[in-house]
Amino acid sequence: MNNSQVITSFRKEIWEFKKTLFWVPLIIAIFIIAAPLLKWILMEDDQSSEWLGIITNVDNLANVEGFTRIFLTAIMGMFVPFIMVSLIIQLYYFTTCLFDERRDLSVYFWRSLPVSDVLSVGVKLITGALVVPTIFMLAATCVVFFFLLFALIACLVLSLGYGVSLWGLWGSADIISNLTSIWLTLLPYALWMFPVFAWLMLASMFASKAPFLWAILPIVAILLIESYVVEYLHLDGGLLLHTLREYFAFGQGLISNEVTDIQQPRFMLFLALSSKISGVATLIGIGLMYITYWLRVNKSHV
Amino acid sequence: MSAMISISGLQKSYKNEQVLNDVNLTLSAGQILGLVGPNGAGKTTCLQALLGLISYDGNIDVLGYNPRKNREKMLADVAYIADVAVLPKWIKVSQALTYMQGVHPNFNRQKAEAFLAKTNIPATAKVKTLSKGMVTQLHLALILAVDAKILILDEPTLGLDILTRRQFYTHLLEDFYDKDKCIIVTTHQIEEIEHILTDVAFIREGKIVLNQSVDDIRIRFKLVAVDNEHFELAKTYNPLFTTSMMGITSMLFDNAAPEVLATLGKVSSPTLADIFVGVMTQETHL
Repeated sequence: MNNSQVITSFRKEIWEFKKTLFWVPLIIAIFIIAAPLLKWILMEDDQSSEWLGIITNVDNLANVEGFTRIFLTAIMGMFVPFIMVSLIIQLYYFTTCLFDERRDLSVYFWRSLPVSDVLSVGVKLITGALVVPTIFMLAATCVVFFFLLFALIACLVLSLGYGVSLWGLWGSADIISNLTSIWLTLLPYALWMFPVFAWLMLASMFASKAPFLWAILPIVAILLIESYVVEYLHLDGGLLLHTLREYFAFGQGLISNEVTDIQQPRFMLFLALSSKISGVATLIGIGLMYITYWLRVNKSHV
Repeated sequence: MSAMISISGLQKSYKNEQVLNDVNLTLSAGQILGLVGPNGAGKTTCLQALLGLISYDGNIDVLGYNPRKNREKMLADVAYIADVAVLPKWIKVSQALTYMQGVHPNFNRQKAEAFLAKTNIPATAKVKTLSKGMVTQLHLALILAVDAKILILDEPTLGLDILTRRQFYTHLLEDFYDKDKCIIVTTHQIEEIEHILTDVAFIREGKIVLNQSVDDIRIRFKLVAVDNEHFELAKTYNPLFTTSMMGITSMLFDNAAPEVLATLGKVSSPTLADIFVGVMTQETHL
């Protein structure tokens, strides 16, 4: 294994999913940019005046902390659609990445080359867990910078045309640190979702047909059996259902409980995601990845 | 000459079915071995074991490597074409070249491009837009541009027209083969590769039933157009195979004395296809 093999293996994954990884974030970006711009263009004169009044209000300008929070919320708002769609693409990627190469028999070609199975499986895991969301977050960051450029032009117009100076807000916006805090969530997010990704990869490797069903049906079947047993034995609740609910619960309570003594709101999401990482779940994920690797080594050609 | 490939006591079974049974083969530089057998005889399984793609019992040594333990290192010097259809449909020709260049230490991109320049395959085309023959040419271009010591071909021309098949083997000899390399090829169209083979191994029900050089085989087996008056006498020499066509009875003999055969009728050298049919249809193993 050398650097060239690693880089080329990542490039191969990007080539395979190029359309999805290029067009989907682009379409979301265009939609997010076009929608408010269209609204702004179609805005009536009195509405424009009202907005100008809010922006230039001295009291509003003095509330620096409030502005910082608004800015952070706005950035997060721009990232949310990208991350939501990214998750769907990730789930699609993981359920197809090892299945498709067996379905079209190209696994015979890939495995006829001096590339180890550890590298092949590892690159697929990292691509799905980190590269895919990175591409979507890059697109979201581009959208943020587009709006910042738009804001810069607006500031220039207000400053030169109306004598209203909003330059002070740029310093209090903490643009770089706010963006960095969002980017920092990528790693805990990937670690939190790692067992899910590993399970989907296993289903992708194991299934001879319909890998998504193979990923879903066993869980549903176990939950149904568990609920039947719980009802029959009059137990308090199902272990698996409770565990899954606990692991994937991501509500307001979690954020407020975990970050009560944190001054900076920008780290809320990072800390909340970090608190979701579980050692046991990570070990289960590692176990699932090993089975996936073993199946690729021993059962790809059967 | 030291062996490049050495297989001894190779066994493989799926569940209760024995697919390979005590396979022994040795291949040295300069040899082109045709591994020939009917469907389900174990040819592909044998090649997959040789490449370390499946588990097996027995010993395999390829260029000093154990295929199961050192598959990646071994594949740097071993090129393999599993089947013409296995190139991924989504990949572009240029991407396939870039990928090979990135992952294969012995891949020569210029050589592959020079090979492709002789074809009408555009670099921007995706595999799914190419005809089956073009995909074969692309796969061959990728593999022949690898400076490999061993080439393993598993039914490489399956489903191709005769022109493409001949072109394939011509390129194989001109662009890959030399006395320092060896080739193993499995095919159903044995008559098409007969002239390029140095050795032949017939496999039946997972067992190698014949493994010899083509020259030795041609001396060993003889086809006799038996005269009608000698028909009953000829049968007493236990022909491997008897066929009658247009009033002429032909019999295939194994290791029969030439002077005896000459008394039975017109003696000629059989094709490998004749010998294959004879060996595969006889009751007892050779």
